[in-house]
Amino acid sequence: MVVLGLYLFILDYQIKSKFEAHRWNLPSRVYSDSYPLYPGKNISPADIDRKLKRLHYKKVLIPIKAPGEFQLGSAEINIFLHNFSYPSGDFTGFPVRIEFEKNTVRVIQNLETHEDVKTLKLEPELIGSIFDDKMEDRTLVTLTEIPDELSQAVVAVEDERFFSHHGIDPISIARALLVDMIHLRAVQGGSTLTQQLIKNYFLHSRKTLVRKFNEMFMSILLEIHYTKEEILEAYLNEVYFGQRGPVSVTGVAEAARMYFSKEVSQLSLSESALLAGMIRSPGEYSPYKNPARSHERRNLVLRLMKEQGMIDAGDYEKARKEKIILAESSHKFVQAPFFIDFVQAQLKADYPNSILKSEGMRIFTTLDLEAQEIAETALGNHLSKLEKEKPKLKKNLNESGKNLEGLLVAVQSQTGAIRAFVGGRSFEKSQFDRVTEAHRQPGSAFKPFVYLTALAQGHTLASTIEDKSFTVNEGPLTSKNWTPENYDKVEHGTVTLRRALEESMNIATSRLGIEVGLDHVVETARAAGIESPMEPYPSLCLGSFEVTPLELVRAYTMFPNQGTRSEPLSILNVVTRDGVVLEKKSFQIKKIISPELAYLMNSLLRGVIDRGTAASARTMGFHGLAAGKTGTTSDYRDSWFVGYTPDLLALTWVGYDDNSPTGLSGASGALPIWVEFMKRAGLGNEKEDFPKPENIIIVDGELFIRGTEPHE
Amino acid sequence: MNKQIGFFFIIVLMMGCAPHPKSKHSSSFPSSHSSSAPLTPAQSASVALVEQGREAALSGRYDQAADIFQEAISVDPSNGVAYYELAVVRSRSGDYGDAWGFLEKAESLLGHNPQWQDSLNALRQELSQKKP
Repeated sequence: MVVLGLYLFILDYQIKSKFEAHRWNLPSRVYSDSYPLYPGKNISPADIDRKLKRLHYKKVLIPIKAPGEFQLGSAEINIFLHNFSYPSGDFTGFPVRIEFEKNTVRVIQNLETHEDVKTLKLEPELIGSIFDDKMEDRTLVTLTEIPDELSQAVVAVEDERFFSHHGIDPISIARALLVDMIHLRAVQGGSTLTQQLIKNYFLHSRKTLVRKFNEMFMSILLEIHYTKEEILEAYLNEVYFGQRGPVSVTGVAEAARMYFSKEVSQLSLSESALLAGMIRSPGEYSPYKNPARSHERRNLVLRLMKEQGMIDAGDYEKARKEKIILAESSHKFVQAPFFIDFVQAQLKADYPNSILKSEGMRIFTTLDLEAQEIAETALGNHLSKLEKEKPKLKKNLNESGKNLEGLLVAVQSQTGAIRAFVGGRSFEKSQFDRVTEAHRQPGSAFKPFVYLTALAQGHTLASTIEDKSFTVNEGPLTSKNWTPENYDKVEHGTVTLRRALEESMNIATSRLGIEVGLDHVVETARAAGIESPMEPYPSLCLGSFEVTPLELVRAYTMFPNQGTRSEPLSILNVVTRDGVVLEKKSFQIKKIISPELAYLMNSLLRGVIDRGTAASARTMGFHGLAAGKTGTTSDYRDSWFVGYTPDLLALTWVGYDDNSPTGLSGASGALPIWVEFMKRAGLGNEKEDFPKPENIIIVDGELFIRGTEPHE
Repeated sequence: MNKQIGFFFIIVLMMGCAPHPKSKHSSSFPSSHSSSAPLTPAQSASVALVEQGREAALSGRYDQAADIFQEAISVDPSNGVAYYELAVVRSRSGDYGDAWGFLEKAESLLGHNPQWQDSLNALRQELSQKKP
């Protein structure tokens, strides 16, 4: 008796402590930025179609009538916007019509008020979730948010006497025991919802007699402590609905999203019955894998509901005839994995992993998933192409299994908002994030900071410098000599600063750096935001020190941003699952140089693309205003391109992780990836020039800051 | 949970620049687009967002206003007024470091416009006093 009492006491303690405390670990979710739309915006119906599908909107042929539906016409899209809980408040979806003229939004109209809309936002996309080891995707909902029809359907098919038994159902048990005895082993379930909850929650799934006893006693104890409604709510949040790649889909809310792209409150009777029918065996009754069996099972659930008096004959017939329209299943389970890791690393100090994996926080970021997909494709395709076409790279791959690596990161220059972030070729193969962790020599991609130092000291783009071989001490603490050489091994004599940079001349640039003062070049780079160690040695001018790619991105933002540097920004808000904003970040900018100097640099770097080392961008079909700089390091170990339009700045790098030579220059390795990305992600770049300050004048075809122009 | 339904999504506001009665920097706000050239679609959308942000700021919802001004900048990064307004709300929230960055950017975009001199100078003076 004492033993039984102790046994029950232990079970009771287990139940109460688990049920009342933290029932589930909820994954935190990482979202992209929202997407602004306004009349005049360059975007095609096909682009919006793709975006809406990623947002799990459902395309319908009939007029839209519920949140999450859209209807695509030849020159218009009608969308019933989803509800969305933003950090600053809840948004309730309403129907809108977006009309297009070619690939431009012509007008946006609210279909409820029939008023024109000046700006509209499509809600952020879910990029990914931060799971614990169980990898369970779950969104908690209360019983009031769950349609009665769904609760009833589950009760009807899984435990028809749920509301009348006390945790165990003797009739079901007797039936199950009979079946077990006939087969001489445990085959029949006969479990109530309470028992199933206990089993999923506390016990392993092996069918043993001891487990059966524990399950029964715990079920009775659970029913003593908690109401039927509390138990049903827990069950509906706990129950397993199949796999999405490596992730388990659990709870009715997540199931409604996965199978129907709907919030659970929006499920129809037919959809509710289908989900309820899946609980017995989510794989077997999956509407994706076995549509016919899933359909039969739905009809069985509907019949049970009718027989048990939950629905009338009319509802039954209507639901039976309802066509099952499933959400398009996504085959991509993990998006932007390097970015998610980067976000997680930044949150680490304030939110330990254990919190991120259990508290169901929502993290809003700056990423643009469309740009991200373009970036991933552009990088992957070009690296594969290089490995096919370049014999040396092909040999490295085939004989040593050595993969060429690369990265692409893109930011909005004015805000620093990271729009695309690809830290490597394959996250599955290597999780090393090259955007923030690789320390590589920038090579010629550093040269603009030498020229900026010169311009800031009063040199002009028309100033001349000798591109003629010279030898200096390698550094102050050594007697070794250093002699810069040009890539083409040719000396070009007296050249203008403009030509020297456009053609990336090493000798002229080194001479210029020494002339303006290597300490000053270091100061310029520091002000621009390069924090890595730099020494004022002559070879600094050619980028022979190491930076991280993100540092270089930050340093370049001041050029398209009229002299103002932007801090790369990825996280906008961190919100608890109850909607409390824990963190709110805005972009940070700092003026570094005058708009006039920035304009001269833009003009200089435009020349690199229009005439200089990156001119092949034009032959590759990149049109429009852009500026940038190639980077190639000694022995062709690193291939860089940093380039920008007025609104978007992107950096690409190609090389080997072990720092061995690739034989690729900035133009042959990194530039084609940049071009491919910008051709598709930098759409709408129709500006003719970067913002031109009034103090910029043209004399004899060259630009000058007023007062620095040559006088006769 | 704050239930400001639809706040972010739809604004049907006049594109002209409304007075800003609570501001002590200026009694009215000239346009950032001083040229007579018609506004581009992005500029129009950005101007509409600035108006929406001002509404939020006038109601004391500075965080929300800051979000909207940032959206305005994202849509049209050359909108100097959005930077100025962001500097004002950041200053009111006590984020003086951030406010300086936005003010400097506003100055580089609006500095040539005599109508903006007083507002920019007043904010610069205010921030100078608060700068640690």
